[in-house]
Amino acid sequence: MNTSGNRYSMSPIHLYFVLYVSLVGVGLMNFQYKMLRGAEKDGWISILAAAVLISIILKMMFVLLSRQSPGQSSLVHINQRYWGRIAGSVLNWIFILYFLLGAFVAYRSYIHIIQLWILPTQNNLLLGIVVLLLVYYCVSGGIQSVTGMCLWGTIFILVFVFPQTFLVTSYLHPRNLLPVLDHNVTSLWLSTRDMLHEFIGCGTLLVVYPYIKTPGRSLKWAYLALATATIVYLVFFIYSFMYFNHGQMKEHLWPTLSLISIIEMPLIQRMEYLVLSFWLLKVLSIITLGLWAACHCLKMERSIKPSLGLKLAIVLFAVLLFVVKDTVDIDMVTELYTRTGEILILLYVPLLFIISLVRKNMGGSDGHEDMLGQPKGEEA
Amino acid sequence: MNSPVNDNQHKSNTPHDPLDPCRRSDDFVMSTMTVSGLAFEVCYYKTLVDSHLLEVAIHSLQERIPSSEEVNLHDVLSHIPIEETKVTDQDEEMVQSLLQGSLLIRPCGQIHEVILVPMPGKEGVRSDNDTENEFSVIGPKVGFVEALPVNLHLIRTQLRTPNLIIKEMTLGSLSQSQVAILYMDGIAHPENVSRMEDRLKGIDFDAVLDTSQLDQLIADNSLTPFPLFTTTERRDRVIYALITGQVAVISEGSPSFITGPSTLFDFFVSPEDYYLPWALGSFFRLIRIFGVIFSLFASALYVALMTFHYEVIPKELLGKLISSRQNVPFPPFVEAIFLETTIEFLREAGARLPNRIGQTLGIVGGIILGQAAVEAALTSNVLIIIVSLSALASFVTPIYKMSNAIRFLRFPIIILAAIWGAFGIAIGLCFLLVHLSRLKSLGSPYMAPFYPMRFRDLKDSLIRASYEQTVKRPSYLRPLSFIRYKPGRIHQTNQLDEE
Amino acid sequence: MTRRSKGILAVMAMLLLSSCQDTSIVNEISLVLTSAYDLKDNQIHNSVLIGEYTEKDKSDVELLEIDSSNSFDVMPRMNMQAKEPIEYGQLRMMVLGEAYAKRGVGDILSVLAHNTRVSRRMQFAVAEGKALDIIKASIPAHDPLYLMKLIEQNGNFANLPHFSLHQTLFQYFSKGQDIYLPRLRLNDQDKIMLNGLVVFKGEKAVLQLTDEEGLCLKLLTEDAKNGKFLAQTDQEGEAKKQAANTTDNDALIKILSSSVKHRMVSDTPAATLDSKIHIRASVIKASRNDFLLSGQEIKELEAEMKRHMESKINQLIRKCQRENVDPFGFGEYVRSRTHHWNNEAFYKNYGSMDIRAHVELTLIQDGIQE
Repeated sequence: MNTSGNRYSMSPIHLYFVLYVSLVGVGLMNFQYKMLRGAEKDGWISILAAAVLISIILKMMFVLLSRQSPGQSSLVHINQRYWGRIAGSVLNWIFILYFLLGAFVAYRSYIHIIQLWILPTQNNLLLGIVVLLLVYYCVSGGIQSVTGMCLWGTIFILVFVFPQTFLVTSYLHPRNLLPVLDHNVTSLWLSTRDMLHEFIGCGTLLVVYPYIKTPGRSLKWAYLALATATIVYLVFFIYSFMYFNHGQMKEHLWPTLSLISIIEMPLIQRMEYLVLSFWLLKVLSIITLGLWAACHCLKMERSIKPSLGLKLAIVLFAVLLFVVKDTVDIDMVTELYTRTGEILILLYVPLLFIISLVRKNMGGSDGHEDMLGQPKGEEA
Repeated sequence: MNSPVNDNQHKSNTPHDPLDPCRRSDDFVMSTMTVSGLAFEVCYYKTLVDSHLLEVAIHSLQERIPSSEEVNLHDVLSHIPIEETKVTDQDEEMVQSLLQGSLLIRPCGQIHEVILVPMPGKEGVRSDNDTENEFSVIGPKVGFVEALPVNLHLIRTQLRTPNLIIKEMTLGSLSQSQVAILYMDGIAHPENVSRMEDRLKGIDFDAVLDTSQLDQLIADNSLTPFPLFTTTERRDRVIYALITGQVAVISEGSPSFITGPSTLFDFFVSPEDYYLPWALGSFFRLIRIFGVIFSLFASALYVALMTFHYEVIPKELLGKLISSRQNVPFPPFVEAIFLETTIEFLREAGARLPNRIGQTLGIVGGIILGQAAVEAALTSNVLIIIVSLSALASFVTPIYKMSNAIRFLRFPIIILAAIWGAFGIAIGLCFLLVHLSRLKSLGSPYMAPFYPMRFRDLKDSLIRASYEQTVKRPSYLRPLSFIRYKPGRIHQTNQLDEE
Repeated sequence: MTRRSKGILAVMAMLLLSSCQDTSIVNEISLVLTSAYDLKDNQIHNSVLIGEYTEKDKSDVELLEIDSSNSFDVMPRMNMQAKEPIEYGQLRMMVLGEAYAKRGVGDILSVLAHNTRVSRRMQFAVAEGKALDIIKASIPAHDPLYLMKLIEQNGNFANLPHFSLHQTLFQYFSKGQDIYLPRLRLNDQDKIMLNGLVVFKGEKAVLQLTDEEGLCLKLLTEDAKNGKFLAQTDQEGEAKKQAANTTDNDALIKILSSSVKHRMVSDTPAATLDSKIHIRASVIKASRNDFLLSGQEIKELEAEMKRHMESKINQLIRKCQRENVDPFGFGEYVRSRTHHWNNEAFYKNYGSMDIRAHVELTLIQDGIQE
């Protein structure tokens, strides 16, 4: 850790954790249900296709960011540089709201699931407020505590939850997955789109990039994170579809949780109560990452102090907790988020990428003052 | 004889004084004495040499040499009554002998030929300086006492290198206590040292009674229950800390050192791990960590399961758990708090009881109270087992301050479990993890090597790798020199067809 | 600072109080462990066994009964009789009365499918007659989980296939398989006994299978272990007549492991299915009261047993085909091998399909064992 400079820089390993957290969202619990609309049991093809598409997007992001000068390689600066002050500002605000929306969707969905499964009679508000307090405490520690939380969230899922799923093996019916390719391309594309909605959180890379110690060599960690996320989704997908058949899956809104429900260990049965509670570690990291990205962009954009921005965001979340009340509202907000994400990540980022290839600039040959006052230079 | 003066600012006129490396440390003394008109420099480490014997030696020397004769080095030599005194001009030998506790005499201004007088070392330990609170089965049991010079002497005798620097300062407006900072020059990062020094210098306090007060005054975060510096009474722990690049501080009148920067995992390290084979050391370390996790969460899990999540209890245990709680009038939360508080009473009282009453009351408290509570159906016997096991498990940490932190942290987690069940425990765990990720000890992260993740250092955190593997110092300390030693080892090659 | 700490105290008090009434403290609730549904004059009659753990090291049961007009509100109505709130989270066994099963179990299965608190490992059984009698007969055992243990144990160590709520729901929602459940009855001494299986068509019970047929079903649907069957061996005329009334000529075979593989021979709607079952078994008793058999004798016995099993299994398949039920999951299998499988078309031809089972049997000599 570099403390002599005034900027925290994290070693590339942490990019793995941060990116894993952005890629695997709360959707892990019910993405199989969404698959039923499209490819059903051929969804594993969709998962792989979505992973390939996202890897292309990641590579584009990396190239785009590495072609900027080191002090300027963040989303806010890119937008301002490419589109000028006003349009760039507008775009930055859209991104800020997008990150906030992502964090809120994860937050609300998780509180909703907890209420349905574990604590049905508890007051929504209190649960929400306590989690918000936790979020505030984490984000106010800056990117260090956010990255730390990402590490713990990832370790929790990979070390404790993932191996348990293999205990379900005796209940599986592999025949459920056959025959292969029983669906046409349209339904496969529909499911691929749904899976892309799961992976859409990778936009935080654009904000985190300046903090990576050796950004050039961290692409492999990003790919490793994507590979891990794909494997996790694949395993949960395959296991759920081997466990439930089509008709049964329609009755279960959260197949992953129902899957974990049957695991029985010597001292504990009905693991899903404990697994779902400790999933908080993972969800917290998703929320805090999104919030931190939004606050950071806010600071870069408007020079609003991050702590003020954080407090505003927390209050906003608390208010929205009242507004977004039931499943219908949550679905609506999630739809909004995924549609925006589609446009921003799947269309806008490639656009930036193409512009960066064409423009070949990085430090402000168009006359904009460098924020850190460093001499402008050219980067390959 | 002139009074000894700390002469560290004395720069010799000649370019290369072989005693230069020794001057950096505050406990190196150079004083002058006159023998028949000629000025001699007498140099020694005051923490290694018994000053009383020194006085006697110097005094007898001055008496024996007649005042009128011309003296040179060899004349002085012949008058020194101590065996094995010699003259040398080897720089290496000079420094080494000084570190062995010798006296070095040379004429002022001349640096090449010197007399080395081996002095008997200080005995100076209290009649028993066994470590009372940090016990180990094998390994030295040498602990520190309340006198600063003695403690420094103990350290110097095991680190016989001029690179061990001892800096002294005075703190405490009323107590005017001497505080010593120790570090290895060439290993410890200068920033760590300067940070420690600056923080200590910035303290304004009235009476420094124990090093632990310094620990809190210079801590990065005063709101945390976790100890940010390793506090130890054992000599081998301090030596180990120094050679890996930590900075050690002790104040006068205190038998414990604090070393920093430390990480969370330093508190689970026992010196015994290094004296046992590495597989055993790793196993015991893992048991300690499991013990701490159990201690933190066991009672809370009991409260959560019994209050909210009855479905999680397996059907075989169901009958037992329910029947154990029959007729208990309180909810599990009150039961758990009641028992935990009782254990805390026991612990607090046990620490202050005079020896003879202690044993009887221990039996009364522990066994009879427990039995009676169960039979009166005020608590369930399952909970008593859990609570006492977790109380026991909280003491597995070799450093006392960490077990305090764990005992304290159990209560909020139980309260959270009573409010929201397993989700409450998750919230507590999250708070803990965020808090730990934010903590810094002397500016370096508290959760290293897990966060920030350094693969290389993981070898010596949760497990203890063999001596062949721990060749490099931990990187979170940012030592100036990484390699500790070269892992040569004679490998036995076993051919299948040889015996 | 004081204002802040007052605020914190207030929040903490609020938090502590907020959860006061939402708890289900484990010794203050009534845990339903076994439940029974009966049809009584068009009303649903529900009876439950609740675990009583007042005495240490001993468990006891309490019986509660209620009537209702539909399957959905029996659970809330039962609460009106209970002194502690009734909780279903540990429900482990459900017995369905014969009449109720014949009327249709779809309701109760839907209720259970949507109730996340009920464990997916729950067991089912169909009673011969009234379910209430069955669970009343289990009361003297003072173990509320007696029936569940009966069925689980038989599934693991005897001829019964494995069951669970998950499996039943799986079969219910599947378009290519029908539900089958174990059958319980009371014998002459009023003790509960397993008596074969009941196969459902959709949600209604239609067909009963004997114990031996149950074993054949187990061999066809899962990897069986520990089943035992008694088979008559061929003897020449005289000896056979003489031995007709004794078990001298029967061989007792214990199945050590088995596996099944299906194969589709042709792809058209009137498909031909071939099932191959590999059985590894050991001989507990051979027909001539000999305990040690020579290699040649083992081969002969193998061949006989193979014929015996094959004929039994094929008989079972025919029987099910006649009734147009498919507990084996042949529909599921064909679905996995056909693109755009249509279950209706399949089941129209189901009765005339040519389904054959082949058995490969390996016998090993079981040491000195009875």
